[in-house]
Amino acid sequence: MKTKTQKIALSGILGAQALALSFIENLLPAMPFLPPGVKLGLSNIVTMFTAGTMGFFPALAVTLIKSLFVLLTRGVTAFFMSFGGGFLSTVAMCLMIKLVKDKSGFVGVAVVSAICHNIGQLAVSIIVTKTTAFVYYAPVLLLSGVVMGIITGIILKAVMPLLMKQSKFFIK
Amino acid sequence: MKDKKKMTVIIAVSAAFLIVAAVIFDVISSKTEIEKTDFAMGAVISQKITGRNAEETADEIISSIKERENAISWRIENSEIALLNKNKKAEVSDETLSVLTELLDVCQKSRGAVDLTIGNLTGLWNIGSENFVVPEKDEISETLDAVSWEEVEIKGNIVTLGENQKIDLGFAGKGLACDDAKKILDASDISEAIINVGGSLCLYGKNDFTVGVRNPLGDVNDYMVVITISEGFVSTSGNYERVSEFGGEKYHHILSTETGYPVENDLLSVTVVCNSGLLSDALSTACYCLGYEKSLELLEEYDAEAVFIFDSKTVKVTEGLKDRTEIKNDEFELWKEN
Amino acid sequence: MERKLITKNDILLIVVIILIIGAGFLLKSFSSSQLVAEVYYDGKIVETVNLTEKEEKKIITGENDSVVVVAEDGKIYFEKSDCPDKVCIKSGELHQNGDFASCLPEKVVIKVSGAKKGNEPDAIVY
Repeated sequence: MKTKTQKIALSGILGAQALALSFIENLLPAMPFLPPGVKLGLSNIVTMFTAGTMGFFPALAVTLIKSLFVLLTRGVTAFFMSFGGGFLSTVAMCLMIKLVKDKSGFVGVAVVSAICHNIGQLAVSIIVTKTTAFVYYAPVLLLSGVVMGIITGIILKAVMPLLMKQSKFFIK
Repeated sequence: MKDKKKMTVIIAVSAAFLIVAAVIFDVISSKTEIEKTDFAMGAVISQKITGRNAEETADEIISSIKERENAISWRIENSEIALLNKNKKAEVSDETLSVLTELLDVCQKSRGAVDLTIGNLTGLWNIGSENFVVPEKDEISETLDAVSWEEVEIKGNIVTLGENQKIDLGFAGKGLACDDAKKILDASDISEAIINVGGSLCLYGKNDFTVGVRNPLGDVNDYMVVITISEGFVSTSGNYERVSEFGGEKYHHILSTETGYPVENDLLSVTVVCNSGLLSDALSTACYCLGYEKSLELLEEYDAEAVFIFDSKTVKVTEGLKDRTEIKNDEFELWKEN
Repeated sequence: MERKLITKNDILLIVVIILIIGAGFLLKSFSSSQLVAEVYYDGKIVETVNLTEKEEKKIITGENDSVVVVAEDGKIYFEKSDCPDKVCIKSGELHQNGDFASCLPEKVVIKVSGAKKGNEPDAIVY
């Protein structure tokens, strides 16, 4: 039986893992053709797992943990970009999992959530800078979302057994 | 039916691949060409650079221009030139030394039409300042006495000025900045660049460039003649660049080293094309002061070409530009020899 | 989760997304045929105005907000400035690709680009 405490504990662990992935990503230099601040989205792997096995709120918690870390390390604007994208992405992936359960695979969910993450970030950057200059980046951004979605989808499928094992450890 | 579906799928997937390729191509090509606008040397510096590390190269160019400004601008406290002007004797860096030596050569060859010791005169007039007032006649002649490039002595890296002399390199500074830009471009992976330093151009690349010459009688963006040239440097000097009004009269900033007053002749502007930025800038001023006839010999000595625009709205170009000039404005006429 | 790695629907989805990106990309290319003015202060863009659309804007910028740039009827120009020589105001109205005006003391630059006609020179010497 899942107790609330166990659920929270697991969410925390997953949040930390999302954070770790995010941190590792940051060590990579900025890609020359992407706007600054846009990352690969490896942490999405964890968020997707959480959304699929635990539901919306735990997934949102993981996203929030990741975004709060961004707030502490890179400031308020970066926080809004991270959470804006993260929130949209989490909502999208949960909807997708619930509504089109049988018709899509890991890759489908991953691509949609990655794209929504990018769209969210783009929207926040436009609102914050009050110019539409960033729309210029849209095609590249979305394209990289598709590519990263495919990659993270594949990775998630591959590490599913490991993650399930970890979950079973907390929730007996 | 199944074939139709197959067809649609194939078309859709191919389209998708094409789109991906197009986007990637667009991004790569647009990221290798950059446009950047900055301020330095009291002017707007506009760069258009194509090639790898375009962004970094542009930044490097601006730094280098600012460094140069810090050394040769008389307006900057403690610049090499400011100190030289203050103490009348100073040791200068190798770079500044070579600039001064080259400019002294231009002073000599132009027979004093341009003179880098014009500092006190330009300072006296202060064309372009708020509350401009025409200086008194005796003030002008007194100041003019000190304008004499021959009195500048150079021994090693020590430069000595004559009494009351001040150096003002304003007539060649922007061209010099263009040279600095070229040095950086040569050392880079850049394939093509157009650097515009307050109107002086550095053209870099294998292909020919079309350059518009500003209409002396028109707006800032009005060009009335276009010349086609290969890589090099272009600068213009004209009586429209900096003008002050006083008592109903207009005074432009190109001062005559003979009269001490703004040069009065039949020219509106002179544009010089040369393989040295410093020279293109210095020569454009020299030619404006010398007038058409006397300029030709000077230009030949430096292997430079020029476009002369007269107040009669006639345009004359030197031999090398004859087949590469096109007038774009009906008001002006290209001089044709009979 | 006995979910598949990738389904036919996923592939369909991806293709559709890419097609949408393609459409957006075309729109972006179309925008370069629009005449656009960019106003810079101290090297950074503070405002963009679409001149083809005859956007009307009044932009206040410069050191101490002492510069007023006005865009209307497909033109853009310096209306007011606290600089000593007012060269910027004298530059007149900018209305075509490549047009350029600046107020050096106030660090404001206006650049017009887009709607390239193809027969303009690479650079203008002035």
